[in-house]
Amino acid sequence: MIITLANIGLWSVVAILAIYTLRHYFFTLNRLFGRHRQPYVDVIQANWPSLTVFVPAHNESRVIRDSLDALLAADYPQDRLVIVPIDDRSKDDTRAILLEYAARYPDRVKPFLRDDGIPGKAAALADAMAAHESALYMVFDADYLPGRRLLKGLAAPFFDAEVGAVMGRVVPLNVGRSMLTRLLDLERAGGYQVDQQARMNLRLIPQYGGTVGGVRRAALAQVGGWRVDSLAEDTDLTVRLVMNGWDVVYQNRSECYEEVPERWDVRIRQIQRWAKGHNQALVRYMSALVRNRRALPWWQVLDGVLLLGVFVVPLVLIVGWVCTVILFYAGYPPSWGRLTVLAISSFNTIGNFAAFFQVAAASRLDGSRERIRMLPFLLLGFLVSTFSVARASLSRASWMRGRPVEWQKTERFRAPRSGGRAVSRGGDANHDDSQAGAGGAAA
Amino acid sequence: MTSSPELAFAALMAATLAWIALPFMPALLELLRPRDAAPLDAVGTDSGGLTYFATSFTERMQAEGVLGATPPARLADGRNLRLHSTRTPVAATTAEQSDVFLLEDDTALPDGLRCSAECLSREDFNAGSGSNFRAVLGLRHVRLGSGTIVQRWVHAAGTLDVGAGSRLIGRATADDEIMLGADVQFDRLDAPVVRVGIRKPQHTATLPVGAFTPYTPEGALSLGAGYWRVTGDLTVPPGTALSGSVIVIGNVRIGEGARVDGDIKAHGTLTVSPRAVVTGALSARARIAIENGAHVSGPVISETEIAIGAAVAGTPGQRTTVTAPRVELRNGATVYGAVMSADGGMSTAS
Repeated sequence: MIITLANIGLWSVVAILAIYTLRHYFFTLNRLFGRHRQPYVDVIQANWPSLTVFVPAHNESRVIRDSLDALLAADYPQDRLVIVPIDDRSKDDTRAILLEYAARYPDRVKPFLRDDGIPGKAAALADAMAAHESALYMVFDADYLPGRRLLKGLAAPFFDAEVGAVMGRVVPLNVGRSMLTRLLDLERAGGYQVDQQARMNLRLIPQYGGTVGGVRRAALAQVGGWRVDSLAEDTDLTVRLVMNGWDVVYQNRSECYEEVPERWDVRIRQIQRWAKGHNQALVRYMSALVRNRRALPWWQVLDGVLLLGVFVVPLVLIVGWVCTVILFYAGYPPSWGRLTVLAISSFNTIGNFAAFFQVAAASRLDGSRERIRMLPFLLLGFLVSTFSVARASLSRASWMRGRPVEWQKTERFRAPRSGGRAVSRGGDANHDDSQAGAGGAAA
Repeated sequence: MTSSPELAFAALMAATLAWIALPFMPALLELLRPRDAAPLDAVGTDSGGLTYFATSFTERMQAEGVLGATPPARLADGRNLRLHSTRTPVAATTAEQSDVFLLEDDTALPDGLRCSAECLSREDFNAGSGSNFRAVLGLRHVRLGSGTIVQRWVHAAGTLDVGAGSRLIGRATADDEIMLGADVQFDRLDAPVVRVGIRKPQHTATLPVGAFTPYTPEGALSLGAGYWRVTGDLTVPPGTALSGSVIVIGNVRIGEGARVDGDIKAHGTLTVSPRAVVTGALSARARIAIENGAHVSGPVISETEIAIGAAVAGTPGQRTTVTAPRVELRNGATVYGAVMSADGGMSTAS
């Protein structure tokens, strides 16, 4: 009985991993040899729509000034742009800083202050957006540093009436701080330059990542707004938009610096939070997505299912290892003899390197010549991610519906700013909460 | 000899470990002595403004005193600066010229000139036909003779007048106006107004909404807040007005003299018939055609091609963008703003 179950389990795992492996290669080959689809990147002149930029903040006094300064320097028409930093029960100086900026820029910076209500980013965004009625909403985490042209780049796709949400590219700033930051830099490159852009090229489902991106107010209202009980409000919104017929697009040239975790414990907590939120969305929407298959092209349904399942893959992998060990010590010969050996050898030769190939291709597309040498160390990152995500996937929070959420904040590393000096490229920086580019590497 | 199997095993193990460790050597070296650990140089560094090269070239020439009373004979990078004026005209030649040219007055350059360096003109820049320039900066008007090729960029502080059969590779910009002759190939244009063939635009009078019969697409699915989705083709009947933005899973035709107050997205082709008016943006996966006398105010975005007849895109007070892999601007076309064509655009006489 155990042998039969282990056999069935192993072959199921092999099938799932083979699908994800093919997906990796398909995306990577598309990016290397396919046509780069970026229909909105050249929209440089337009009657730009009204825009509100929200910056959710909870104890962000170390970083919020840099973010607000960067947004104030944007080349978006000032009469169309309002910046709304949201302070949700901060215990540090965040609120005082926001009020200082509101006093200095009364027409441009309009803080939204929360002292009660459901805690968490989604709830804070839902409350703040109810008070602003611009055509577009954009969200930036408090530690992000948008370039001067970024807002126009992210607004341009919304001239396409079908676009419900837009995601830009997140680029690590603190790359050289540790081995972890260097590995995350490679992972991010693979996740955005290959995974997200390939989905854009193939008209699949690029993921809205909750920061460095925007959403059309009409689309948000039509799908029911933010779900305040969601651990991953970005994935949640992505799936609801797509199921309701809106497009989610990725703008590879709309880049924004972020800070990635510098310590493994911070990284593990971050990826576990992503895994729980993603799995929550899997439970909520997998069935509806499949039932909705007549309304969507089959390739979008398939991509949606694979996207939702991406954080379950590490758990599946471990199940496969366990099944293999059981079968080995039970002395059970592999089914179909040589064919199985050939399949396993082939997978070891090609399949295991799919994610590495994706990252290597991304580095090449980015024109990075030397950082590719770090590629073998990604093995360490994958092992840590595999066990962290698997552990998160086994937790109750991953599979519960309607659980009230709290602020899930990633630790900041950037030194507090003194004397009004802005953070520059190559300097200190801090953390992202975007999981949009993480899916490819996590799988 | 009894230890031979153990030795063989140890040797095999060592060889295997060495083989595994091999790729980690360059990784370890890069970790200990980083050579590529700077953040990706991408954020905010793109030269998205089309006048980026012209602006940086102007700043460089100012810094080197080229625009002063006595320009230097040689630039900081070692290239010679060659003057051209009524007093010292450049002679006609077929040889490639590698000097940077400074045109001190509006004396025309000879036909067939080939310049592999930049040309800078203090007054009007007048190029002969069949010329080939690397880049041109005119501090007043720029006139390119027929059959001229510009390899990288051209900018006119006044108007840019491009002769028939010319080819503008890269960026072409003007502070006042770009006028294209027939059969001009281009990549990226940006100016307050871009015209083909004629200086007077084919404006269509925009009548108030009340002058039209209201139209709502049959069977359209409301997405709330003025958004509609239509499955199948859509034709907005002539003389009617559609208020709201429509996503069409099919082809779209906006009938003659019709009016649309909103954006239109088509999964197929999109045609704006003569004298129709769209106040919003147009986007389509397939071809967009804007026929004679039509007017579109917002951006026009296609994933394949756009053809604009004697029609208008944008308004004098609000510039817009026309972008597609291939763009055809026919005689009489007027675009207030930018025309971006990744695979090459063309002006045509028809």
